[in-house]
Amino acid sequence: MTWSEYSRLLLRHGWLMVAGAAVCGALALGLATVQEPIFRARARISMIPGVMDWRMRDLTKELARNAVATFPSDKLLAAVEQQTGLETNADNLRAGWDDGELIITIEAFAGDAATAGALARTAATEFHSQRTLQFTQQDFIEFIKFEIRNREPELQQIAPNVTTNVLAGLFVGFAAGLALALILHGRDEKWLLTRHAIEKSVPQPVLGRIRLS
Amino acid sequence: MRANIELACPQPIRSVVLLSPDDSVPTADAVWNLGLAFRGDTSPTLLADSDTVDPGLHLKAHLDLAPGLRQWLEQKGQPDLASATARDHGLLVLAAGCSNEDPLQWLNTESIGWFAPALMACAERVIWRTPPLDQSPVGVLLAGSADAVLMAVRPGHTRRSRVKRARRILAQAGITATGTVLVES
Repeated sequence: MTWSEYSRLLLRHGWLMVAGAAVCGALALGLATVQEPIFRARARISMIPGVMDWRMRDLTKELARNAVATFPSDKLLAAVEQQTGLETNADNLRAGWDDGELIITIEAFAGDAATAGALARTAATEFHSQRTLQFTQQDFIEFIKFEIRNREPELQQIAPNVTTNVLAGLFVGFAAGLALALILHGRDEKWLLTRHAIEKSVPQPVLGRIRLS
Repeated sequence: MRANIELACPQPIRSVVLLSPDDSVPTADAVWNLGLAFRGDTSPTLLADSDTVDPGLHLKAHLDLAPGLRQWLEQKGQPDLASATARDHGLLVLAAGCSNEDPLQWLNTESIGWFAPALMACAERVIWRTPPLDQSPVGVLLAGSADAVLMAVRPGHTRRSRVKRARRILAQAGITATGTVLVES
């Protein structure tokens, strides 16, 4: 297709892309208003080696990775449920390890901010106490500075994300409109539905129209 | 449309061939209406049906299928058009004369050579209805001796691939269509 054909396609079927984007954007916005909110609370636990040499650093990282890989343990879940009185499971809690900053991040997800905050706070405290005990038993605790960085977890509403939803809706609608426009253009070309398609197929001019009686 | 066709043609138009790329164009209706557009006040316009596989022009004029083009070609005589007249509309109609027969048995370059001038002697203008180009080369044979060659296209029914194929067939025969006419409901 040439540039002039693309511009003709836009003029003829461009409204489909605009309409598709508008409809899908509006749908995404509507969906965002009815979607259940999800809050995330994040607590940070630093795990820094007491002596900054490579061996200690690697050992600390290994311990942290191991702790994160087994998070949340059944024991921790039971302790959190007991302390908060909230029913919780492994899907509500997540842990991550930042190799650069040497920080374990514990995240809790819930439908309201207070619950998420309570879960994250309790899980972080429980995780800290359980691992402190473990490191003490393994004689690691004197080599590792292990402490909770923020007693009050950072709260953030992660869903519904209206901006992302609307942008995604606009994009999907635009793409669907574009696809439909191309299909219609292909149909026009194949079945000679426009004067331009006819003139492109036959080099001779269109001299007139005969109406069938 | 008549003025456009006449302007597109360098010489006075005595014979017009209406070609269709495939059977998507109802050429009998199209030729009939084209004849009405070319109808003169004094001298008649003759519509000749060369589609012996699927003849249809005689139905428009309420005439019998035979005698028609085939019989006159067999006799090799001067066509008698007295019985082939659609007087109601001021048009002369030459029916195909047979159906479901291969026209190439008796319609060829030689027969067209004497028959086309003989027909033109009977009318001021002759408009040929031809079988679809993807089914028979008769249209190409007739187009070679016509003053105006029109390609009929029915938007929404005729496929671009068929039009391109028809273009190739005409180009191989060294024929350039005068123009395109759109046949619409």
